[in-house]
Amino acid sequence: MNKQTLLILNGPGVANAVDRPGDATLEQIRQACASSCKALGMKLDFRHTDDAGELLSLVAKASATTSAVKSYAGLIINPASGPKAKSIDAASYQAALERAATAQLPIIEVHIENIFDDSVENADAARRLQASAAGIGFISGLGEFGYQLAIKALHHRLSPGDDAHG
Amino acid sequence: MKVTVINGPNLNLLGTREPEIYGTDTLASISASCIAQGAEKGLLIEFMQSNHEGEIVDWIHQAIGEADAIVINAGAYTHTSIAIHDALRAYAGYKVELHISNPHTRETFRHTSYIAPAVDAVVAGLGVSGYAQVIELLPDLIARKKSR
Repeated sequence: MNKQTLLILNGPGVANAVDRPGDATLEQIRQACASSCKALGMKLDFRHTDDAGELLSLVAKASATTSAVKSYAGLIINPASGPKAKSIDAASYQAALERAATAQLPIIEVHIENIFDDSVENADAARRLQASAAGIGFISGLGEFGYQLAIKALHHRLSPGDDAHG
Repeated sequence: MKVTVINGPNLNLLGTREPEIYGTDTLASISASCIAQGAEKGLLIEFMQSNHEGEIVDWIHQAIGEADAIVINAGAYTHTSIAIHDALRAYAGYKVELHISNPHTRETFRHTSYIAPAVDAVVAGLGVSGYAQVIELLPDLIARKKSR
């Protein structure tokens, strides 16, 4: 059996979100995610785009199924961060995630900062993107550790003998 | 290091109440997995549950200066309690809001959290295993907050 592949998508502005001293860069986050996936026996496709349209088409691609064989076992998405979050149309983004969830793709939304903290710049722009499709997991404010938690949670969900989700 | 895990109303019914949403694990089994995960990470876990808002406020006050972190699943008080919000504001240690399901994917009256602006992080929809998975990360998260 082929190894399961996780898709991690980072949208507009995410590379700029990690600019505090001591924060991991997006490249360091990618490396940490790669080693976590390897340790859990999964493959990783880690991407970043500052283009809102490209982000939506990557989500659409991930939700496509071909002859019952899914290209990805799960999706971790950090849709946007900072002022660039405004470049995404919330309704289109939510519709794309809705379709992915309907296609039985397990999804966890991750934000590096706590988007409910109004001292975080442009938190409201990221907050309005929050999708309400059933079953989507959500992590906000754990910094780079949010990605690690999301990988473990998806791995757990994809393993037999799963507990509650939704 | 000490960690206070606070569970709000109705979580005592876990395992029997709407298992299609919350699963079949009981709160006692979650408590056991939190304590075991904490021991592995050198954390002393105090795991509690109350159906009473004021008691939860009291527990947050008791954690001030005592616990290095709070993990709080305030249940339905998440969407109503300014008192719990204020108590969490007064607590300077690391604090995480946790939910078994993702409130945002449910009824609209669950879409606003009064807790979220008062904590460092929000974790939702990872099932009951979210508790132990968050506890596993706490030593790193506590250290990072203290270094800032």
